[in-house]
Amino acid sequence: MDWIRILLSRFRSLFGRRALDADLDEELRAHIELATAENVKHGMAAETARIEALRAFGGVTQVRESYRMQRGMPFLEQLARDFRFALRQLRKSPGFALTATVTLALGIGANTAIFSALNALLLRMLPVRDPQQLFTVLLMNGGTQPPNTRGTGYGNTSFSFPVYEALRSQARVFSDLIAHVPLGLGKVPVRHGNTPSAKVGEEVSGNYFSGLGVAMLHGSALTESDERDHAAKVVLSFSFWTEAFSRDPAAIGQTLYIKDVPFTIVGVTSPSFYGVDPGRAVDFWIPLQERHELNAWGVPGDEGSLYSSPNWWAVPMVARLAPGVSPEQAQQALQAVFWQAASIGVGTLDAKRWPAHLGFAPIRGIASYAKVYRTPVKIMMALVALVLLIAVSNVALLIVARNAARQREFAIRIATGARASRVFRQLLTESVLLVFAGAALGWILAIGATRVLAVWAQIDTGLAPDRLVLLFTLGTASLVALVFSLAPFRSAVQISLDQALRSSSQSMSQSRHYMRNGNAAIAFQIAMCFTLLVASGLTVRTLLNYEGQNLGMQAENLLIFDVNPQGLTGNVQARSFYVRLLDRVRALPGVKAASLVQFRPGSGWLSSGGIQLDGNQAQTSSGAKAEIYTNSVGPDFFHTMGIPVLQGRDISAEDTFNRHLVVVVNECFAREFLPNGALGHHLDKGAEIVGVVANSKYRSVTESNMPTIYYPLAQTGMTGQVTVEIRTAGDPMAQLPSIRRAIQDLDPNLPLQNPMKQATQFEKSYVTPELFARLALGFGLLAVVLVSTGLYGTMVYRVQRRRGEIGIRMALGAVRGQVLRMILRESLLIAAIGFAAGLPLSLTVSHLLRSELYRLSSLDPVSFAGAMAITLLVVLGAAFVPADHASRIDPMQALRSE
Amino acid sequence: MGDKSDVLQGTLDLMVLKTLESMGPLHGYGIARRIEQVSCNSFSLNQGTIYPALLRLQQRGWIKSEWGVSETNRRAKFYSLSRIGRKKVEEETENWERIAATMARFLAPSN
Repeated sequence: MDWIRILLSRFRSLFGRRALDADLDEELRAHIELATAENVKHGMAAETARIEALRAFGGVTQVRESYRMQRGMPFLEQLARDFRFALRQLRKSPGFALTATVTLALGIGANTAIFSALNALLLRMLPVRDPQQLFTVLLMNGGTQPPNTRGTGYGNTSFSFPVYEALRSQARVFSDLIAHVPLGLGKVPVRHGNTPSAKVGEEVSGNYFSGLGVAMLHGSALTESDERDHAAKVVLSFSFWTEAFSRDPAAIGQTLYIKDVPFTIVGVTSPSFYGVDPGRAVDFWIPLQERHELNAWGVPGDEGSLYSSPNWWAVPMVARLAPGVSPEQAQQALQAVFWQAASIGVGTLDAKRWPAHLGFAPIRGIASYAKVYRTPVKIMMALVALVLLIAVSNVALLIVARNAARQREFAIRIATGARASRVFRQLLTESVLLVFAGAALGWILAIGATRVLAVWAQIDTGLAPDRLVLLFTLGTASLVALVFSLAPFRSAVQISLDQALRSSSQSMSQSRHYMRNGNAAIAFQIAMCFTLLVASGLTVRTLLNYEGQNLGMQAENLLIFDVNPQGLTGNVQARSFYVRLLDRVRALPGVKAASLVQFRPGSGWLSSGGIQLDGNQAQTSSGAKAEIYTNSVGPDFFHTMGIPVLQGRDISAEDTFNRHLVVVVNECFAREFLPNGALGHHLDKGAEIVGVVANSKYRSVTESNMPTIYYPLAQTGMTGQVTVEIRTAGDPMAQLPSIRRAIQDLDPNLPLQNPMKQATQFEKSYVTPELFARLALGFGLLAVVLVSTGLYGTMVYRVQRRRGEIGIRMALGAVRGQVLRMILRESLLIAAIGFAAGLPLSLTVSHLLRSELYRLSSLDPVSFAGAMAITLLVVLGAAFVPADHASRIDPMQALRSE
Repeated sequence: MGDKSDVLQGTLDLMVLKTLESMGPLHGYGIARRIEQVSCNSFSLNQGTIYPALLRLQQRGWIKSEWGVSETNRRAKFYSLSRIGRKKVEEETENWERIAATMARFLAPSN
C-alpha cells in the first residue's frame, strides 16, 4: 500500500514545483535560524553561531538536491527537460524538422492507407463467427449451367433450387449451406411510410444469419420456419436502418413495402455486416419467397419461381464447411449428390459434354476484386512499399547529414563534461520527437487517404485505416529513424576534441565514408523513383486508352436510369405505360429523343445464346454453336443512342407484340452470318431482319465487337426492370429533376434508379484500371516529392561542407560555370547509377503489370522515356539550387571561415 | 569524531517516529536536536539528513506537517504523527527490538 501512496505523492509534486521549492527553502532557513538563535543563547558570537549552525546541518545544497530527487520523479523531469531541449534544437533548424516529419508522415500515411484498402479488397474476412470456414460454392469445369437449362446471375455461382436442397441436407460436409438470391440485378423499389427509395435486397434461406453467425443489433434474425412459411419478415442492415429510421429501435415491428408487398421489420444487423460480399452491400434480407412479385433476380414472375422451375439456375450459395472438412474432401463427397440433383428437370446429363463439379472458394476480401485483381493489387502493394523505402531512406539521409554536421557540437559537449549517455539520450530524444510528429501527421493522412480510396475503388461499405498496418509502418519508420540518428553517435563519442575543433576540410577524409553511403542511398532512391514513374506512365496511358475507346454511340448527352414499375400485369398494360412515359418525357423542353432498353449498356449485364438463322442453328466458321449477344430495345432506340442505321430501319413504335416479329442486327452479325445482305432474312420464331446498325459497345468498354441482335422490347415483354435512355440538348444531369417530376405525375411511387450519364456508365467498366492509374500516379508524385526534397537537403549539406574547397578552387581561378558543372556532374553521375539500377527493376514491374495494360506494350517507350525525363528533371532541379548557391560563394569569405 | 558511528540505514526513520511520539508536534531542528541529545552524540548526524527522512515518512503518510510558530516566534514547519504513523511506530518498534535481540545473541560471547 505504501508504494501507491509514495507514487501518488511523488506524482503530485510534479505540479507546483516552484511553490514546493520555496516551501523547502523556507523550512531550511528556519532550521538554520533556530539553531543560530540557540547557539547565541549559549553565548556564541552571532557570526560564529551561524557558522556552527551551518556546520551541524551539513551541506544545505546537497540536502536540497537529494530532497528534490526524492520528492518528485527525477526520470520524468529529466525526460521533459530532454524533450524541451530537443524541441529547441529542432526549432533552430525548422527546414530539417519539417522535411523529416512530412517525409515520415507521407511514407507512413500512404502505406497505411494503401495496405488497409488492399487488405480490405483482398484479404479481410467477413465480420462473422469463424469466417475461415466460409466458402462461396462454385460451378467448376462446366463453364455455365448444364445444357437445356436457363440461368440468371453469374454462370459459375448460380445453381438450381433442387441442387441447393439436395446439398443442404449433407450434414457431414456442411455445418450450414446458405442460399442468398438477389431480388434484382440492381436495387429494388421499397417504401416505408410514404418515402419510396431503391435498395439492394436478398431473399435468403432460414439459416442465413445463424449459419453465418451474424449478430443482431436489435430484434431477431430470420429462422428456418420463416423460410418454410415464406414469412413476410425483413431484417435491415445497420446502414439502411440508420438512413431510413435514424437508428430508432422502434423500427422493429414497423412495415417495409418491398415492391409494394408489406413486410414486418424484425431485426437490424450489427454495424459491420453488409452481406457476404462487401463489394456489394445488401440493405435488407427476407426469407425465400414464392410470390411472383418477389421472384429471384427480379425476373418476371410468369417465367416461373425458383420452387416451380427445377431447370432454372439462379441460386448463389455460401457454405460453412463442417469442422475438419477440406474443400477438396467436400467436392469429392458431394459429386454424386450434386450430379443427381443437377439432372432434375433436365433428364440425363452427359459428363462428356458438361464435365462440371463443385468448387469452394474461400470468402476473403471483396469477391469481384479478389478474383480478378489479386496479382495487380499485389504489384500495387509492392509499389507502395517502394514509396516507404524512399521515405525511410530519405529520413535516414537527412538525419545522417544533420548529425554529421553536428560532430563539432557533440565533441564540445563531451569535452565540457557531458557524459556520453547524455549525448546519446539527446540524439534519441530528437529522433523520437520526429518519429512521433511524423506518425501523428501520418495517421491523419492515412484517414483522409483511406476515405478517398474507398470512393475511388467504389467500396460502398467504406474503409478505415488498419491499425495493424499503421503499427507496422510506424514501427519500420521509427526503427530506421532511430538507428540512423544513432549512427553518428559512435564517432561523436570517439572523436577527439582536437580533431573536431579543427577545420572541417581536414575531416573530409572521415566524411568521405558518409558521402559514399549517401550516394548509394540517393542512387537507390532515383532507381525507385524511376520505377514508380514507369509504373504510373503505363497505368495512366492504359487509362487514356480506355477513355479514348470509340463506344459506337454518342454517350455524352445521354441520360439513363432504371425503372421497375409495380402492378403492371401483362404486356398490354406495360406497353401503354411506357408509351405514356416516353410521350411525357419527349414533350419536355430540352429532351431530343427517348427510348428504352432491357440490359443497360455498359453495365456489364448481358444476355446471350444461340439462335436459329433461316431455320438452322447459327454456327461459327469452325462449326460450333454461335454465341450471339441479344438485347431488347424500345422504339427509336438507335436514333436516341446515336448509333447509325446502315441499312433498313430503326425499331419503331409499331413493332408491338401483336404485329409481325422483327429484329435489327449489328454490322458484325451481318458481316459474319449474312455477308450478302441481311435484310429480309429470318431469325428465331420467324422474326424478320429489318435493319442493320453500326457496331457499338454493349457490355463494357473493353469488349471487342460481337454479333448482336436487337429485338423490339414490345415484342419480347416489358414487365420487370427497364432502362430508359434520354437524349438531351444540354447537361443530362441538369435535366433529371424535370424528368423525375414528369414521371412522378404518371406514377408517384416510381423511383428513378441509378440515374447517370450513359458515358459515366461506360466509365464504370474501367473503374479498377482507373484506380490503379490514380494510385500509381499518386505513388509517382510522392516519389518525385520525396526524392527531390531528400536530394535537395543532401546537396545543400554537401555544398556547405565543401565551402572551403570551392573557395580555394575559385581563388585559383575556377569560374562560376565550372563550379556549377562540377556539382551538377556529380548529381548526374549518381543519377546514371540510379537509372542503371532502376532499369531492371522497372522492367520487372512493367512485366508484372502487363496483364493490366490495355492496348499498350509493357515496354511502352513513351512511359519509359517520360519517366526518365521526369527523374532527370527532378535530379537536376534539386541539385541546381545548391549548386548555384555554391557558385556564388565569395572565395575570400569561404577561406576566412576555415 | 572518529569514534562516532554513522546512522544505520532505516534507524533514523524510527528515531524520528519515536521522537514525535514522545514529544508531540515538533519542527525539523527540534527533532534533530532531540535525536542528538537522546543518543548523547554517540553517532554523527548531519542535521540536514533528517529532511529526506521526514519527506520519506510524509510520502508514506506516516507523519503530517503544517506551518506553525516556534518558541522564538519564528515561522517553522511542525511535524506530527498521523493515525497510520501511530500504528506503524508500534510495528517498527517490535521489528527493531527483534532485530536488536537477534543481533545481541550473535554478539554475545559464546559459551
